Amino acid sequence: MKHKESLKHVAGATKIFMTALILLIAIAILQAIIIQTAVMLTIPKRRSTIKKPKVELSEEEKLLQKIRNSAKQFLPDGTIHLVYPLGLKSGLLDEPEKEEIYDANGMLIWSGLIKDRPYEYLSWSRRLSGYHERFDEIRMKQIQLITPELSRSLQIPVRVQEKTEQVWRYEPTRQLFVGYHTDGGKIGFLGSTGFIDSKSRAKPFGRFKLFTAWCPQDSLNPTLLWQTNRRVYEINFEKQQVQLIFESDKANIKHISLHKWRDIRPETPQDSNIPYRPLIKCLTEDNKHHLIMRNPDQKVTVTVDDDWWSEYLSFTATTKDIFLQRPEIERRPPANILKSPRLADEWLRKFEGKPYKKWIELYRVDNQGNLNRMNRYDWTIPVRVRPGRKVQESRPWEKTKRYVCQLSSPLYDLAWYLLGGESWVYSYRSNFLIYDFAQIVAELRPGNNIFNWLLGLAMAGFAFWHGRPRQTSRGKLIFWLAFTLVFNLAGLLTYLALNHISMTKCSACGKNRGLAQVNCVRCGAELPTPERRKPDLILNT
Amino acid sequence: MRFSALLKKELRESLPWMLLAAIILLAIGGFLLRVQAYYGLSSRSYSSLLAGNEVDSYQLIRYSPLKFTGPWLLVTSIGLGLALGVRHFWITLFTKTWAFLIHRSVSRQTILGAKLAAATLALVVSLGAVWIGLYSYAGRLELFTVPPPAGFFIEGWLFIVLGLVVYLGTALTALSTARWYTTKIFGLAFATVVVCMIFLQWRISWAFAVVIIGIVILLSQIIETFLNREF
Amino acid sequence: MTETVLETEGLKKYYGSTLALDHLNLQIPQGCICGFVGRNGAGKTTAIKLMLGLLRPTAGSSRLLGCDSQQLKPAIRQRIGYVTEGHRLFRWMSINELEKFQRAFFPKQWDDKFFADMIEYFGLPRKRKIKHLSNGERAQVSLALALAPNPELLIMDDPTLGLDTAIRRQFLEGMIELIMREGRTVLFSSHILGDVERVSDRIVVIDKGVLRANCSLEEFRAAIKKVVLSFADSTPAEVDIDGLLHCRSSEKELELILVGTADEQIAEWAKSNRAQKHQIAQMNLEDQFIEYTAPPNHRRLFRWEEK
Repeated sequence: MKHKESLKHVAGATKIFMTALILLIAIAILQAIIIQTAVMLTIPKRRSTIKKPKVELSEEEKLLQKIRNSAKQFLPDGTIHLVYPLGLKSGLLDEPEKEEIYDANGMLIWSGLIKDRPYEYLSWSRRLSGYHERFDEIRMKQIQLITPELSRSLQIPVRVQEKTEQVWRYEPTRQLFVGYHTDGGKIGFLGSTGFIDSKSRAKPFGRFKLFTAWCPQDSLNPTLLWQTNRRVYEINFEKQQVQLIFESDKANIKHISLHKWRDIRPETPQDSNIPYRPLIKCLTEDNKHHLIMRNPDQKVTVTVDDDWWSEYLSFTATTKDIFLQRPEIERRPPANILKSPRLADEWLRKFEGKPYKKWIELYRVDNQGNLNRMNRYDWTIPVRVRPGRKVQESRPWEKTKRYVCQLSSPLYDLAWYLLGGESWVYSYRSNFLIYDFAQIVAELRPGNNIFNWLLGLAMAGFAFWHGRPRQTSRGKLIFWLAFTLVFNLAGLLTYLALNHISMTKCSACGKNRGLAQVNCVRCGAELPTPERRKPDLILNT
Repeated sequence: MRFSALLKKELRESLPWMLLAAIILLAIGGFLLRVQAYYGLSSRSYSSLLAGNEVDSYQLIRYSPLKFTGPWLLVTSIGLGLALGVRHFWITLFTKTWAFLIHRSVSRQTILGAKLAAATLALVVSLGAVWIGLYSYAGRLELFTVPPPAGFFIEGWLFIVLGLVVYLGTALTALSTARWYTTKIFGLAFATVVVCMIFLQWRISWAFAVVIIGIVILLSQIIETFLNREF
Repeated sequence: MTETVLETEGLKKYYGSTLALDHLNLQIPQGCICGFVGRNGAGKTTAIKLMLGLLRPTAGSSRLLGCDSQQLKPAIRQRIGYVTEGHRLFRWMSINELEKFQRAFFPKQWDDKFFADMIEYFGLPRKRKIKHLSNGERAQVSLALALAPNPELLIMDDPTLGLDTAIRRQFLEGMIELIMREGRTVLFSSHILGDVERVSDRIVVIDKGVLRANCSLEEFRAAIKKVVLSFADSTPAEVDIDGLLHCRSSEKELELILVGTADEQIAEWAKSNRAQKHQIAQMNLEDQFIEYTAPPNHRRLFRWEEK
């Protein structure tokens, strides 16, 4: 009997869960259809018809605007130039054709075609970006997503004269590469210690974070720069070699930036005359910048102040010097304030309607990682020169969306609060389920609207009116009222789906009572017995 | 003896569907795998990798030889689950043989257990055997340079277990006494949700966790409904 | 004291808002052959299924062989044979396969010889599939399957439904074969009163879900009478006689359906109301049943008007 009771409770709970889930999904789909229909039926005002107010700038403001739009470039000796682009050439990327170069005092020192520029400025390390250049943790998870075609895997070929001889496949569970000959047979394993032919002795790379791949100038086969939590490796599959480029002892690597590291043809046809050294910069979570250079091999660790904008520091290394470029902006919230969206908003509001400063600094880095400032350039962004806010298109369907979303559960707002709101949802993008759920919540949440709560109360009231003559226990009724209040329309429908029973009038008190109940919930009277006809032949002989 | 009689009866009823599903998977899935073996690596050339150039990481992402077989495994599994659910529960309802089946010197749990065991065996034996064969074939290094990883084998079994989820959803829908326009179809709808949620998982363990939770939810309701249902 | 094999108390069943069975109180003693009769939709099948635990009552309870119907143990079910309405069997099985399947549930009780004899008696090919059998042949297989385990209680839901006269006769003969075994109790529902009359010793009548009669067949036959009275002038305006069920009149004739009224009482009433003559008409069981279950305002064509 105990088992039966337990089963009854478990089955009841799962039934409520299943019904509520299906109804929540069905209502969400219906809401999405209504909103999309409203979007399609209401055409927003075109951007071109919305006229931006024309602002007449003073001479000083025009100059500041020009400074703002100029690229701040440094020469190897520390001199700063302001490079102002002119005359956009129409095309795919709208590249500027001409430019003007000014010195720090605003004097024009050169003007002409970009390709004829007489100065060569320092180029800087940059983070890998773009879908094709970097392959990160999220994409690694994406290829492992279970699909009808099963998952995908990372496979690196080794070719000899266009013919593939070997294929190395990455195994995420073992965190190493397994090699196969194309004519059949396993080659071995590439792990953190290099090539091993035995599975038991192969060491994993560690938790994968990112890789980038390139084919060196003398090879058709990819070389990988492989980043894990604490290490950066360079993997050459053709030579079956793994080189540990960098290892952090204390803190995880936040991100890496490269400069001239990969042995590939330069992007632009002009060869650089500045004698750069290949450089990788690893920023670790303890806010240290680890520089790894080649030709000759060198490692330097640079520690900067905590209030520096570490994410945007860039480095470059020549045969003579190592340089650091630091851009800054006055209204950037400090790190401790940035942790709280509310405080960050408050900080930014201080600069509303006021000019603010920007500056850029150039440092020389010595072999011990000490910084020596070479130059600094400051400029001001006046109020009217700031990037204009996007003019909001009127969105007539917003009203429909607002009404439709009132049918959603108030739990969506709670989930939104727990997830951290819009600016923090993006941080969940590595977890597809939470990210998808967050997007649904973002679109369909009621928005802490009092109408949503009033609607919930009305539905709970209806549930009470429906349930009182049908319920056998007060506890059950209270549960369903709370359920309806919390889940709104989905809650009410769940309640009705699982609890609707036919009614009849009680013969004793005349009020409504459930048919399935032996005794009336109001007066306790039993269901009436049938009238006996006098001549009924009921003889128990 | 009684349970085995019930089990034999259910398996005998399931037999045509088992064979059909196995034949479809073997024929189509096997043919597509054979085609993959025939074309070898020539269809997956790496000619876009050029010396001195960056490599688009997308070019390095490849499917396994089971790329075309996987969908057929999923389809046959779901199809077999649906067919068995209809055969075991719906047909019995339509032919009004429930009373003949229930009034037996065994408990209702035994009768239900025989149906569930038969469905599980049917899926595991018919599709599992074929899947093992296809996976083993795809692992032959003389035919395919890069064999599918071990994780794919488990993914295939996950698809087979999804067939069981669909079976349970169909059974619950059949056993439900609610109206069509209310909650009768929720069993199948929930099974569909579970199937969709699998494809949001990138870890096989989480996918199995989702499936197991789905099975527990459906099974508890099926047992409770079957034990108390009127026939 | 005869043991009660089947009893119900206040058994009530609603299908949605439709009342299918209303406060059924019934006791069936051991060794009884009980005919369970009623019109279409009266609640016979509902009652049988409630007794067997296939349906759940809205109210009330029932017990079979001393066990609550809602918790019938497998050991109890083993002692009960059940022939379903319409003889629903697994169509893909042959008779042999069905026998093998059924036998598995009665390892000790199954009478191989009896089953074989019955199949041979009915002339059924053992390898033929159920779906290739006619209605009558299926009914025979059903009966054989139900009887072969030698059940103490046999419940049959409209077993002769759809059978022609000859097959029905064969079927009933098979039943009689069982009835001749001592201590067996049979409950079967039917609306073919001839079958009930032929084999039953007890009759239970259900009308619109309500129990109307539960007595021996002789008592039922004796109790329901049709009396035709002729009058010289007009018929009496009011008819007040004990046990009056229906009263139909024409100009000078009165037809009364009476239940449980003694002949002497009828004669006395006829005399006191100055009837010229009165005659107790012969009714077969079917006529008695129809009159007994006819609604109060049942209208007939032509001569007779209800009073």
